[in-house]
Amino acid sequence: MKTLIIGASMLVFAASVHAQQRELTFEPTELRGGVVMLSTGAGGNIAYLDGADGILLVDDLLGGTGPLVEAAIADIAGEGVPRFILNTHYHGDHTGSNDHFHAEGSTIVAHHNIRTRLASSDDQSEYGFLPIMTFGADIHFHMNGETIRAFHVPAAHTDGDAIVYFEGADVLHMGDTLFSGIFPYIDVAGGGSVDGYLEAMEIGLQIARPDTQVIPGHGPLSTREDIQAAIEMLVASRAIIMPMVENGMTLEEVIAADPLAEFHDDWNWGFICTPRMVATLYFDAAGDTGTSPLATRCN
Amino acid sequence: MLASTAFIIAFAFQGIAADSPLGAEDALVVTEISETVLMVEGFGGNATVISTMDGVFLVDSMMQPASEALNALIVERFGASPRAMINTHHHSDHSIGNDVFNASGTLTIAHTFLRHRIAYRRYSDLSERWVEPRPVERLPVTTYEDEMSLFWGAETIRIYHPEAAHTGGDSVAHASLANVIATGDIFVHGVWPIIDFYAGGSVDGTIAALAEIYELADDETVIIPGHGPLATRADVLAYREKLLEMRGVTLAAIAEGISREAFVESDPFLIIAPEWQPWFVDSGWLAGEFHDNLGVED
Repeated sequence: MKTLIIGASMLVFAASVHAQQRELTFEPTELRGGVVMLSTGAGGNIAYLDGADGILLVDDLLGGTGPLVEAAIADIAGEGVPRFILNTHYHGDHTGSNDHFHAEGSTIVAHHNIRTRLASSDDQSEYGFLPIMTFGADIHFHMNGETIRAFHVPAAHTDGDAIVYFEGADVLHMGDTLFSGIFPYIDVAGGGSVDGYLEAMEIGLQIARPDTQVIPGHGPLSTREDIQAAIEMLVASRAIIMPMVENGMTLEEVIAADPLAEFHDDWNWGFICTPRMVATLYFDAAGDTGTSPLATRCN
Repeated sequence: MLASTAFIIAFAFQGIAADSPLGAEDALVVTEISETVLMVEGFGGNATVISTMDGVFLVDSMMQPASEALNALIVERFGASPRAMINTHHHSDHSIGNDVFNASGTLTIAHTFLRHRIAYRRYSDLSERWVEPRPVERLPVTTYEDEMSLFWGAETIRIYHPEAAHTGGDSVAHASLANVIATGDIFVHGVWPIIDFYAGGSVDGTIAALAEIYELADDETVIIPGHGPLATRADVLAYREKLLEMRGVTLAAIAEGISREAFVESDPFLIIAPEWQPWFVDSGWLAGEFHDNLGVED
């Protein structure tokens, strides 16, 4: 593998994504043990390990980006078609290139529920998107001198999440069970839950040591302190909102009271703005698993 | 009755003993269960080959030189080496040929215990010596703890781990569309069974695993045993009932205070399954092992 100059090597590709012209910039960060994190700012963070036994890729970005992901990996590793792709969950910003890589011969690996959810989705139900190798509790890969453990955390961000740990490298890919420094999206309609989300982050904390390099589904390269901070924010936010729901306030009243004002400046972002975080916790406390927090307007 | 045809593929091999209990060293006996499903007998445990739109799935890797011949047979017949292979357990006759398939790009799969058992130097209480780890070329690339599935074209292959059965690291493969179950040595057809108590196997786990296999199957299911000819679920049930009877006889003897030595001397299992053939082991060996295993206080 070529040596990377961390953060300085920017790979720019132009391509048609979702039928519109769009440019993706892949920013590679070389982590311990030869693991490479690729961030684009569009879609989830992906990571790969290459070597004589082939490439293992964690997540594969947005629909239509397959050739770009392949080129970005090939630019560094010399070859861009992974032997295995692990999907951390079913969302299209983590599984969008499954079809491209399936056609190239990659084996797509995921939790059982990811296959089930993709099979019933509108835009990713074609055969190539579906993982052809699925697991329940866990699956491990012993390759390139590394042990990679993927294990399921139930009812967290969705009902099919996996956390991936590169044991020798001590690199932890949390998938979307960690939005680092930004409010998390908890897809309750997709089988996620606030309790399970917190539990998944607690498991991440149990694995991560002070020096562990933690890759969040979204956000910058992180450490266990970022997991700890995300847990504290979510626990505190829930403690604020739960009594308001118990007191019979409507969602509109709760949002109007701006109960998460103390977190807004640090955690608010475009996708999960503060009102949507409020809505997530409101629906969870109310036992409403049918209404998406994304239905709430940001302003 | 199972509709199948068998043919023999001979290959040149200047080998060691000709008459091995593990089967001929210089030939593969191929049983065609259908156009896409084969049972292959040869040097080592039975191999199962299932061809799908997404590639060939193989159960067990046999022993050299049969492993190379098996790979060549699959390439010739289906156009490529297996895409994936599962080891049903760690015994050499089912897994020592893994290097052939790892070198061919096959995704080699096994239960976590299996890899752990062969990947590290360990002391064998049985043979009272250190056993060296197998080279990495012979280790499975992928391991799982509980269960996993392959969705290949129209075929679904479920791989699951029955606890503490023939060994502590068994896998059973169940192909739904082909309606085939490969049991590994949890079920052997026509010979005295081995239960590897030294590697985590148990009588009760084996009996439970056989019940599960029976329940998974229907009357049309082709059961591919670890050794011996094709079977049906009725054969699995009959086999299980014999093991249950042996278990009962053993527990009664233990309750009466009959020693292991006296128990083996009386050869109480032979009359239960006179049709089973001795090979590595016989009725007396199994009686002694049952006495050991079932005599352990909980």
